[in-house]
Order: sequence, then C-alpha cells, then structure tokens
Amino acid sequence: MTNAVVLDDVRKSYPDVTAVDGLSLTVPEGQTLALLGANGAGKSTAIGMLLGVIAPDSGRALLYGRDPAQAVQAGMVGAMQQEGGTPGRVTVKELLTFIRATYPDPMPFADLAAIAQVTGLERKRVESLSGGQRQRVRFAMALAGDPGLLVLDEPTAALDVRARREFWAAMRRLNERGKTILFATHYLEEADRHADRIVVLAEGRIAAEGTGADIRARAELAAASPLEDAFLALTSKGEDR
Amino acid sequence: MIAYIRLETRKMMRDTGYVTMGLAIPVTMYLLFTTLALPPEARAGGALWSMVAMAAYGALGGVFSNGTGIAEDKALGWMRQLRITPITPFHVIAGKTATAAIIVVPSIALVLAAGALINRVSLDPAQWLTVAALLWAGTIPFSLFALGNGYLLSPQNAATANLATYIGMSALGGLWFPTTNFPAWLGAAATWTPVNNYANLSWSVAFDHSPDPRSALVLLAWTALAAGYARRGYLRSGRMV
Repeated sequence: MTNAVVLDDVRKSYPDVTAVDGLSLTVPEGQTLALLGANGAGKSTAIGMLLGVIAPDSGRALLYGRDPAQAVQAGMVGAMQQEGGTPGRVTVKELLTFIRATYPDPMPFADLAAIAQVTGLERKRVESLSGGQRQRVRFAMALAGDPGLLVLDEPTAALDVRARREFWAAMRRLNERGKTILFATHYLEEADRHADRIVVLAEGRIAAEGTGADIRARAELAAASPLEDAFLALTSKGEDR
Repeated sequence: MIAYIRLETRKMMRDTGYVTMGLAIPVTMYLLFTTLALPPEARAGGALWSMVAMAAYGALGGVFSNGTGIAEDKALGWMRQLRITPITPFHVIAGKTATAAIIVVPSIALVLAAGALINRVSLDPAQWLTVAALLWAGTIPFSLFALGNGYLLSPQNAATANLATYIGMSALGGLWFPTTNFPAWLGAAATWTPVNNYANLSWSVAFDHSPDPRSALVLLAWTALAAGYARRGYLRSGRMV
C-alpha cells in the first residue's frame, strides 16, 4: 500500500520557540488520522511542512512519495490551513469555479456544493458570509479538485452543532470513497469518534498514538474514562513521554 | 492561468480604488482641464497634450491599485491559499501582471475616447494606434514596481506607498503641469523620471510623429530596475507567505 503522507524526523524552530521537534509520521492511503493537540503543540507547523509551505529545518516530508510542492502542483492534495483565506470581491461560485479550474480532474460543481453545504450561497460575495458559511467555503476549496488526500487544520472551527454533524457525515462518505484524510483538532471527542488513528502532539513531539482506546490504555485509565483525562495525563509537563 | 486572470480581472473591476483612480478621476480631470483651464488659442494643442497625460495618469492609477491588491490578498490569506492549489507561484505573479495589462485598457480607452469625441482631437490612424500601444506597453515598469510593493509591504503600507508614488511621480513627471513650467533644475530632473519618459513616448508620437528614442531608453532602464524589485519582492514573499 502507498503512503499518502510521510514525515521523516522533521524539525522546525522559530526564534522564540521550537514548534516541531523531530516528528515522524506515516499515513497510509485511505486512513483518517487525527492530529490532536493543544494550541501551540505544533499541529499547524507540521501541516505547513507536509504541504510544502513551511520548509523544515531538518528532516523531510513526502506526499505520495514526492516532494510536497510537486504533489500539490499535480493536484493530489486539497487543504484547509489556519492561515489560508478567501479573497475579497468575488462570489462563492466564481471562487470555486476558479479553484476547480486549477485541478486536472475536479469534482462536479453540484456535488461539491452539496458535500460542502454551500448550495444556495453560490451568488453571494465571499466577504458577506458568516464565519460558519465562510468555513464551509474554505472546506469546498479543499475539496474542489477531488484530490486523494485532504489535509484539514481545525476544519470544524466556527461551525455550529448541525453543520458540524453534517461535516462529519460528509467526511465519512469521502473516506468510504477512498480518500485519505488528515485533520488537526483540539476537540478530543472529534478525534475519538471520527479518526481511525489519533496522534497526540505535545511540544512538537508525539506524546501518544493509536486508537482512542489505545491512548486511554497508555495513560492507564479505564476504558470508559473520558479521553480528556488521558490527553491531560499524556501531554502535561513533567510526565513521562 | 486563464482562470486566474479572469478571477483577478473581475476582482479589479469591482475594486472602488481602481474604478476611482483608474477610470473616473482621470477622465473627469481631463475634461475639467481642457474645458475650463485652456485659453481658446491653446485649446487644440492642450487637448492633445492633456489627453496623453490623463490617459497615462489613468493607466498608472490602474496598475498601482492592482499592486495594492496583492498586499490585501496576502493579508486575507488568499496568497497562502493559492500556494496549496496546483497553480504555481510563477503563474500567480504572471497572472497578476497580465491582469494589470488588461485593466489599463479601459483607463486609456476612456480618456482617448473623450479626447476624440468631446475635444475633437485629430490624429492620423497610425498615430492613434501608436499612442494607445505605447501608453499600454509603457505601464510595465510601473506595474512591476507596484506589485513589488504589494509583495513586500503590509496592506496599509502598500496602499500608502503606491498612492504616494503614483501622485508624486505623476506630478514630478509632468502629467498635471508641463515640466516646461517647472523651475529649470526641477524640469531637468523630471526628464529622468519614469513617468515623464513614459508619457513623453506618446507625446512625441502625437506631436512629432515618432517616439523619442531617449525616452525609450530611460524607460527601459527603469523597467530593468522595477523587474529586479518585483523579483525580490516575489522571492521574499515566497518564503514568508
């Protein structure tokens, strides 16, 4: 089986902080992986490196065995980044039509609008949308090219309960269609419920990984315990990692 | 890249900065200058001189608005989003330069049309074509400079730098008052400025039937400098965006 994502001992420091400190990670095709961590754990930096927009200080990132920038230019990846945004003075339809045109084999527009729940917003200017609507447009931009790999950094931020539930239902269908999905979240319940595998990040390193049950076991907690307890036990300072 | 140019051109046509600086103000100023400020005996020459000046002024308004747009896109996260679509960074800058070349066409056409239809400016067909073509092609250095500002500076600073350069260079370049009205030392300095040589290419065609070779050389030298500046801005933003 091909690996959609490989991070091989990547490191990235900024003048005041080491964001990612020797992270190795492999995501096989078809897997849904949650990158779970508190704010500042290194999730967004790790995602930036695997998308080729942040150069690692050392180590390397590969998407489908290629340099990330090449994989992006070949249309194999769609992503939502924290810092990514939408331009002004265009409608939702114009924006998504443009994004689709940049990919070799995009998703039909009607399917895209239905899956990303932007039906009915097509003629609106992007800057006039609410936070939740704009988040759905950002998801639609990631999905527009119908890529094999979706990389989503906190995809449900700004979504209300209903939109969040519909978002995860859409993700499940996409996963059933064979998509590889890597999402970052600080919602434990989302990771537990929607990912095949969870990687817990703390201070730029892997604090634990496995299924929700594995992670509870690692923290020596009962199976019925909230994952939150395991998360706090595994990521708090002074604990053995 | 065609899809990107289409999207960017749409965005610019809806940009109030472009519509004001690139379209409305130049033609209004042209009609005010020629109908109110010129004595009858100077009207024919003045209408022609001022037509070239205000068409140049409008075209420059368009390219500087376009450059400021890059800084806005950067702040909105749109440049970052583009980095994770298959469109390459080189095509983004090429597309943005092409957009500038498109949006200056209505600016130039509007003032030339006002000259021909309202002020009865008469040139032979070859002169009309050459004047229009030189006004169009001569925007390249300004377009590159404005894009460089957009890449290197924050939106507020880019807007201020572009507006100040636009107004300052237009005044010093003699678009509002002929440089022959300047004090001798300032008039001499003006003949080395990019705007004066840009407009002078078309003035020399309109009044003497052939473009001034000195102006062509001076403008080419400025073009080389502006290309270096834009390249530097683009490379730097590639690391930072």
